Amino acid sequence: MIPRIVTFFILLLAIGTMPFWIYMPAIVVALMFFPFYFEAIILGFLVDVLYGSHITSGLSFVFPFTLFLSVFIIIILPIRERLRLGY
Amino acid sequence: MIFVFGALFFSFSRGLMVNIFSPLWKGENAVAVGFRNLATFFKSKNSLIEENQILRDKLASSELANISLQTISDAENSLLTNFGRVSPNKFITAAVLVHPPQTPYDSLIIDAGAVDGVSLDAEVSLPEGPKIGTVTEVFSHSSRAKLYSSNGEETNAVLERSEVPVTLVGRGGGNFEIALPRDVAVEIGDKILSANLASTVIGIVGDVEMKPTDSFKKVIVRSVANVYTLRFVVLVP
Repeated sequence: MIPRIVTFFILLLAIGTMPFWIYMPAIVVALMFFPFYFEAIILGFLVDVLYGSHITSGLSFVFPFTLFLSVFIIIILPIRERLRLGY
Repeated sequence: MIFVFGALFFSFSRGLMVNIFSPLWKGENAVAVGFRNLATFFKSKNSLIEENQILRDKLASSELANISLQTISDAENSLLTNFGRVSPNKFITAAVLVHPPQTPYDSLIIDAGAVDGVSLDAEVSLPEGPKIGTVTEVFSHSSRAKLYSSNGEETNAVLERSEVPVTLVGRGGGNFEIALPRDVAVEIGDKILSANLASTVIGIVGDVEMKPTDSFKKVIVRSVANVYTLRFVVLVP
């Protein structure tokens, strides 16, 4: 539980201070490493809310990175069980 | 479920989130300036003298260029005034809190908001003049601007060499793309101007791609602004 929370706060700090090519892959890696890492979706929302352009034509356009993470979390769940990744 | 509830919550808390993160970005900028000053402290005397001389030469050359540009600008303004088109003289200078690559979608967060007189769709320019984007969201003490180079963003412009109207399509990272008929002459280094009366340079042609069988050529344009190092912008409300 503690590594999950620590990772969340590290990623939160990364979103606020680091280039996107560091925090975006890091979120995806965390998503693969921890089982059902729903915190990634919150982080995805944060990226889209802080840095995304405001386009009001459907949720997918307003939150593209979150949508990607949501789809990825669904895809990774069965694959992760077979690969026995991380925790 | 998480996505839907998150979307509802975060849709209404955009301003709040930007306000929460603003002190961090401002602090980060202060730390960056501190580090720059620290690096200067450790430079040797000779290198500083050398740098000083180079900067003096650059300043003299820039002042000359500025005087000649000022003359052209005055002539342009008087011409516009004669035709009843007065250029706006109210500007808001703002510091850039966040710029690419921290923002993944070619957007900026700037430290001027509704309190400072920033309005929606205000033009964002470099202090030197070229326009780089528009304000898409205004918060109380900050605002968000979308750069013209944002992916998929379309901007009307003019290719200076042949005065052909073109549509710049943003490709991210300060880059644009134009599709031009193969007969239109375009070369690397050509200027792309904004399509308004007092046109300014938006970009420079960086590459031209065309296969022998293509009827169109793909022109890659890079923005005149280095979006990765922006520190200040000027807003026309």
